[in-house]
Amino acid sequence: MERPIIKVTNLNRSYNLIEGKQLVSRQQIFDNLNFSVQEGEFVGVVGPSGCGKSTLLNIIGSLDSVGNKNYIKIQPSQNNDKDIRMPEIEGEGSVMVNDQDIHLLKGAKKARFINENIGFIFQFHHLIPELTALQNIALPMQIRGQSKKTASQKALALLKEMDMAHHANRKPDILSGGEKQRVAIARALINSPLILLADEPTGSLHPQFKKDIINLFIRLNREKKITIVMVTHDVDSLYDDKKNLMITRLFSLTGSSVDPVSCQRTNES
Amino acid sequence: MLELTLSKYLVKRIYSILLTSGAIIGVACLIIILSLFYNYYLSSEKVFMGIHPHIEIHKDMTPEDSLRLISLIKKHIEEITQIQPALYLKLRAEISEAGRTKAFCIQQDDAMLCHSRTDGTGTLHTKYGFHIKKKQTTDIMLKGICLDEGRPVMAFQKLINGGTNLSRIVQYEDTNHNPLPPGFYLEQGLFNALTGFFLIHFKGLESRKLQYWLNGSLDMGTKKGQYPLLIMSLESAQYAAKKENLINTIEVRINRPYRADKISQKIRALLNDNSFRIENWIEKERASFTFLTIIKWMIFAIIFSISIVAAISIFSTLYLTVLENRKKIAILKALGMKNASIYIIFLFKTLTIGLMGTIFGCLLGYSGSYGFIYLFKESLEKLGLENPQPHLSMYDISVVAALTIGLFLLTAVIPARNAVKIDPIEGLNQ
Repeated sequence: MERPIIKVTNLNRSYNLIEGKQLVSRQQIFDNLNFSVQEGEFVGVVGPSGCGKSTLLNIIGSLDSVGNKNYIKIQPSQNNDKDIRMPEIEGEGSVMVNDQDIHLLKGAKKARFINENIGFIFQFHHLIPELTALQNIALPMQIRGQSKKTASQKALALLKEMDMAHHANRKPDILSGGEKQRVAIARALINSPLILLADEPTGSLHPQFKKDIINLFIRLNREKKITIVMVTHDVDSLYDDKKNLMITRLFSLTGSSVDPVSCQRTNES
Repeated sequence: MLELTLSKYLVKRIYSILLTSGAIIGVACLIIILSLFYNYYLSSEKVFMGIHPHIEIHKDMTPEDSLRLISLIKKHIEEITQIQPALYLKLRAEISEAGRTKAFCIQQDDAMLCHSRTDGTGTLHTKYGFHIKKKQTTDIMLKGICLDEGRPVMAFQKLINGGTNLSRIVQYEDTNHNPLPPGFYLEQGLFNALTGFFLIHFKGLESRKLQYWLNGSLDMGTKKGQYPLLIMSLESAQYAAKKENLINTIEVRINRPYRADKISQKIRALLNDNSFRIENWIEKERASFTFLTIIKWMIFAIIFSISIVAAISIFSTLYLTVLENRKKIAILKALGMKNASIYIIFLFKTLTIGLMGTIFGCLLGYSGSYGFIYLFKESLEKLGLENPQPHLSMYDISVVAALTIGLFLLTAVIPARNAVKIDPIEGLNQ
């Protein structure tokens, strides 16, 4: 039996909108969310804007925390002199990634966990413009403590794998959107992570590059057995010409299987 | 190292160049000031070293006793290069600045104001008269000293402004055995500038009215609580003070002046007699050295404000750099960079600026010191700095380097902390 590499259990998250020390509204985006991904799966997370797809990805990747955060002082509705502290973001639940409760990770341990286990790919590439493509790709490996030479060699190998070797010494500014995203994917792969978390990786690309990138992800998943969780709006690109789903499965944050319509929201004042 | 590479990319090159230039200027100014001040310090030290005998042994004694004592000390203390008897007295004296006029005498009956030169047969050769310009009654410290091969135990000839003729200390008769004004050395402070002839009248010694020719004056000012210093031959002092058979001081010069403390202890142990009071030049000038050191660090603190301004610039630049680079820092966090490494990126930046500032600032400061000395050598020599040269001690360089680098590292703390606190989600969405 395959073990779940990602296991989200009873995850709650809500945002308190506070204006002038008064709680104006409360927006709940996760209500006892349960979600798990088996090792080697390629899961597409779908849902309309604002329903928490990126937040889920960020929580799984330890960029965002599970618990409460951003405490600010508010005046309670009763006539009480004392201000109370309320979190702007409330959350609870359990998120296990590779058998590690990520809520317990702090500081250097958290950084090491991200560096060794997670590969992030963002919609807007998020490459460092002052560094060349090769330097950008080598960065996570150098952060891990590998020498510049070793990291550069591996980065070059990845660039060759993506047919981008001739762009090694070019800076991101002069690369096309698709090329930038390939560099970002190579950067995410350099430490051979267990999980790739891709947040709308095709969202900013020209349609002709979208298919290439999705195919690249599928190839990585099939050939390298990398677990991939990808947030996307572009569900169509996940189907082949015969309307077969090319990835393991889709996960809708709204509960519907493929065609999510709206997110469940609870507003309280 | 990755942090070093990233520190290069996060802060714009033009900012780095400007900040490093500020640091270099700050350090160079400090080095120039310290180097020039070190000249002054060394000159002052030479002055202090020479204005007193290195060691003084005080006790009233006869000339014979003093010679026995000198012989004993010389035999047992190898470091001694010169040792002579002397008479130190505090006296009240009326000192007049006078003009001498040839063949003119106002008061024939007063030897003090008229001076006749005769030839060997007693025939009157020249007559001089004096007319007093200024007069002042004051307490003075009279030092009657002996010369050894023309050199006094004190090295005060280095301090004299104007011509000196040490041999005149003992030459108080002319070839016709007529009394001549013996040369003396007077610490300035009595009048603004003493030159030429002076008449001295020791109070309480009415019959000892003497006239002197000023050989030179010590341009040291008079320290609080001390008296103007009048130096003359031992015989002249004994005669002037009516203490012909008294020696009260043994003056000692040693080959290693900085060991005066230890050699004083050796002499004390050798004499083993509490009636001897032994002092050395370091003890006597401790307050002056402390004062010079305080002045040095006060100047240092004032000039260090240039480095503080540079540090404030670094702080504001790094602060803005963090604001400008929130996204890049968030990317680094998303790639798994530790908070400590983000801290180190900013510390490296300031460390690089501090190191460059210190190294090039020291070089510029050292060459700048040469330039200053070359340009202002005459003025510095007029100020009493003999043969000024750039002097830098390792201690001074270490202090400048440590303070500059330390200060610059401090400027990185708050921006680095802000960088560490950046929420990766907010940073990435910027």
